[in-house]
Amino acid sequence: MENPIETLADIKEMMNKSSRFPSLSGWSGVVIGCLSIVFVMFTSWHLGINPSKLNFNAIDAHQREMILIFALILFILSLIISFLMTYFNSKSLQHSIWNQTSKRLAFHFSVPLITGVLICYQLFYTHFELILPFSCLFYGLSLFIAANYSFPSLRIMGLSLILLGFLSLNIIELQLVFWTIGFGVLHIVYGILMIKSKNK
Amino acid sequence: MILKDFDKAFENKVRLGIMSILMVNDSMDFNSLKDILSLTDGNLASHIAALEKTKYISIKKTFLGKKTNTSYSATSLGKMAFQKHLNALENFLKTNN
Repeated sequence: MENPIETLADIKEMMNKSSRFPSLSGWSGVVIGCLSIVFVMFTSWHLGINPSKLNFNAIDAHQREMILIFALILFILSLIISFLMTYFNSKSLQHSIWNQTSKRLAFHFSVPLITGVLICYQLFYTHFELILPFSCLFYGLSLFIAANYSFPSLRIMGLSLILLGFLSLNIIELQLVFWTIGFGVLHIVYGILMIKSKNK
Repeated sequence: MILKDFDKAFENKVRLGIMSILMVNDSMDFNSLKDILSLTDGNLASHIAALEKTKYISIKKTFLGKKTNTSYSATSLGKMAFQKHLNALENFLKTNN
């Protein structure tokens, strides 16, 4: 009979290892956070928007289209970056990237995310002022669910984004600030936390 | 030491690992199990056969095109036995500390 403490620790490790995808890259969080901040700064500068005093009536149709194009570029770039960095990360950790845990993570993460993207696209023509809060809310839900299949601490980031989403629903002129905190600052903070927890 | 509650089927580390994985996953295919436990085909197959013999796990074969895909699940008997084994381990720790 082996040491029962070790046996219990082995059991716990196997349970975690088999149900959670470990190779999500913390660095991709940092890069996506920085990109989001650059996106907000560039868009506000390019279109002459004051991020701390958002007025949707002052944004015309042409400017809205520009914002949509920039946002799509940011979204696609973020997906590519997180995928590539996770791919290289799992290679260096010698995990396979396409196994049951990563499939489950991708599936559960993408359902609320795609729902959010489709809703935001619909809101573009009817309720432009709801896009930023809804993107926070749905991305928060995606992360909250993804936490079950990867790092449990992502749950807190998901809840924070949901909170920021509700705040920006109520304080419209500060929407861009809340969005920058959610997609910029939180990505960077959680990216660093993930890198640190792996180095232990 | 109270040994009567420890299950012989779980004395082996690999079998304990397979059961731990199948306790938290509805089902798991052969290659994923191999990957997680870092085992060779033959080694894993022999332990799976042993667990199947005690009816602790069930096997399901499906076809993905021309390839067969074999996946494994814990049976309710297996889950009960594993839980009992866990309880015995915890009790052993309690009474000896």
